[in-house]
Amino acid sequence: MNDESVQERRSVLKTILRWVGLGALAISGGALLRRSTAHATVWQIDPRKCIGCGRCERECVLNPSAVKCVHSYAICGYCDLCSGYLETYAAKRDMAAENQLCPTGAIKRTFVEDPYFEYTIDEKLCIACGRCVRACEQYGNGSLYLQIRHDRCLNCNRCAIADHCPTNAIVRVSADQPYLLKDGEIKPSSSVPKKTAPKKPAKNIGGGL
Amino acid sequence: MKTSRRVHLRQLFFAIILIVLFWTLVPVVMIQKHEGKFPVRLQMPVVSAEDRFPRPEFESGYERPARVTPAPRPAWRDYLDIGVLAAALGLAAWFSMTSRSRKGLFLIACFGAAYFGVVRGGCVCPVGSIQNVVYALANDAALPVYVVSFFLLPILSALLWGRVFCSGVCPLGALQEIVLIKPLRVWPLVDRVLRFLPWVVLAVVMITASAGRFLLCAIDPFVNIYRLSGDMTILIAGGIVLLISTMIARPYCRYVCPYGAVLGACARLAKTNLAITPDHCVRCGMCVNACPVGAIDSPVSGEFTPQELKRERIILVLLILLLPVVAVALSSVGRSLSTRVTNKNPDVILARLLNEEDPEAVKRYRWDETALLDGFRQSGMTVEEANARAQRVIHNGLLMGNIAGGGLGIIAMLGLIGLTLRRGRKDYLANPSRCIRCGRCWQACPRQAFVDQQKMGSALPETEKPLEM
Ligand code: SF4
Ligand code: SF4
Ligand code: SF4
Ligand code: SF4
Repeated sequence: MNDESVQERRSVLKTILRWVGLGALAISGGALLRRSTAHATVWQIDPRKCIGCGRCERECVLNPSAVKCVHSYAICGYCDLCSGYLETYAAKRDMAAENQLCPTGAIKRTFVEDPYFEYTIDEKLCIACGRCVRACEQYGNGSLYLQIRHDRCLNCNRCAIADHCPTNAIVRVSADQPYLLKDGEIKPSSSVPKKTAPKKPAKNIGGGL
Repeated sequence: MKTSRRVHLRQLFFAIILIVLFWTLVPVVMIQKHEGKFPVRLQMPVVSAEDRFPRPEFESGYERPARVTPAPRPAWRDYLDIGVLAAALGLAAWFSMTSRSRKGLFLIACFGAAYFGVVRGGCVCPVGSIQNVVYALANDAALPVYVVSFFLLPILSALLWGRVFCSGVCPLGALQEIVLIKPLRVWPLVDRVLRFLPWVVLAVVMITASAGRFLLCAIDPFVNIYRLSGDMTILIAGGIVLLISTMIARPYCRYVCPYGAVLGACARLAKTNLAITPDHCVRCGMCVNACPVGAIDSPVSGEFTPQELKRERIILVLLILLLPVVAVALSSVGRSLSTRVTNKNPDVILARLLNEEDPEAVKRYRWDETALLDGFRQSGMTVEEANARAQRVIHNGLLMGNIAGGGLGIIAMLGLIGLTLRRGRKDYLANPSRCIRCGRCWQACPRQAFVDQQKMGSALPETEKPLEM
């Protein structure tokens, strides 16, 4: 048995194994591609499950968190005594800062018409603590809820919040429909809303995507 | 001279074909997918709110503001990334085997760190995509085309050209490559033992990923550095690993990375690998000293005494007999590990709570059981659905425990068998499963004796090639 024939045999074996490997790769790759979706996926909070526990504020890899409170105007009652805006047992019924529920004053209140008030979230200030969400869910219409904002989210392969969410509310959704929004049946009274100019998305911090 | 240029052209041609093929295949798959029905599991649920207060009708002409929903990153960027990955792999193969340019490889590492690390933010990377694939297979979850491509492309490149992905296309490897200043040698015995760890990591990661825990992402030391944000402990740990990598080359790649282990196994079968031409080699051993990861095997004598041969044969038979035993034993270890993991899965805990099974045990986990039940009630899921989900998690966990544990056992025993099959080696050999294509060896070689295996024998260059193109 000389060296050369041994070499020869090994290289033939290697070639065979390589083709077996390539074949296996082609088959498994084809199978994977067949069951895959063309759509990328992103993380989102399922508002049906979220209880506003406040972990979204702490667990996101970004600081402040990529999660923000959003407000569904279509289901909001425009209450004067908004439970998401005022401390529940506020001593006085004035709108002073100490009576406000949001720790950063991210909820802005503007008068619409008697007796209605519009509440808007200033996303730059919102830290996703979930207090207003809890209160609105318990005492109001549930029009305030948390969503992962995709201008900020880095789309981590495993969302850090998902590992800590007590209700398993963080799910992957299609990037084509990246929000799980609460939708009331009532549409805005006119089909062409006036304030349509979308706010400029907040600057992406954290140097991600 | 002529022949060798033809070989170069052939490789370049091969690389281009591959890239073009990919770029035509991806859109085809994409279009097909878009035409098909979108999987139900990704559909957006419509949430109805509870109306405690009537929604006002406004008289002052007030319009409700439009909703602002910033879009995620556009889909075309994912496909651009696939293309960039394919091109970088082809280029790394070209630099490491044809033009022999260490400078080129280093630039690729810089590019990999800059693009796949900083610009792209790290996710999803081929290393982590193992978990996506395992999770999607176990849970019938969505698996985007670009994740599949990120998982498969480097493996394909390893089957063709060796671990070119590791040379610097991988953002994790690139960072370690860039900071490496003065590589120290790891004591070979320690190295040999530690080198087995990636397989263990692979088995554990497969088991945890099937239950939805992405362990590899949680312990990834470098992604936080690229993003300059995230968990402080991991950020500091990443810094320490980087410090270590200035002296010990690629600690993560060699002793942790499960994807590197898979690529290494594929690279053994690669069509072309780094080779050292016996005719040109002067046996100075410079390359062995230059290789930071100890990938070059020195010649060993193939002469064995009859006693030695006999002993080795006995050990070999014993190992082969032991193989199934070890595989079965480790698969039961895998099963018990998977039980521990699935016990902490929120789906499983929820089902146990609903069935009032062992409420005390549930409290031991960090999940807040009342919150879990609140969320369940809010979500409108039925108990049957919750049970079915838990069943699937447990079932898939056990299956994956069997596969990963048994596979680990087989690989461990095959490794030991490989050790006893030690054959004589006359030449220096860059071991394809360990060589990460850094390019230091051919820079150190006084005779520039490295040429492609393709060129071996038939097409040796008459004059010695300069180091770099
Ligand atoms: S961690 Fe979960 S329950 Fe808590 S606020 Fe975030 S999504 Fe809601
Ligand atoms: S995916 Fe990452 S960035 Fe986005 S919300 Fe989760 S942890 Fe934050
Ligand atoms: S061994 Fe792993 S981490 Fe290192 S370069 Fe290769 S794939 Fe990347
Ligand atoms: S290219 Fe040479 S020096 Fe670098 S890892 Fe491979 S064998 Fe070692």
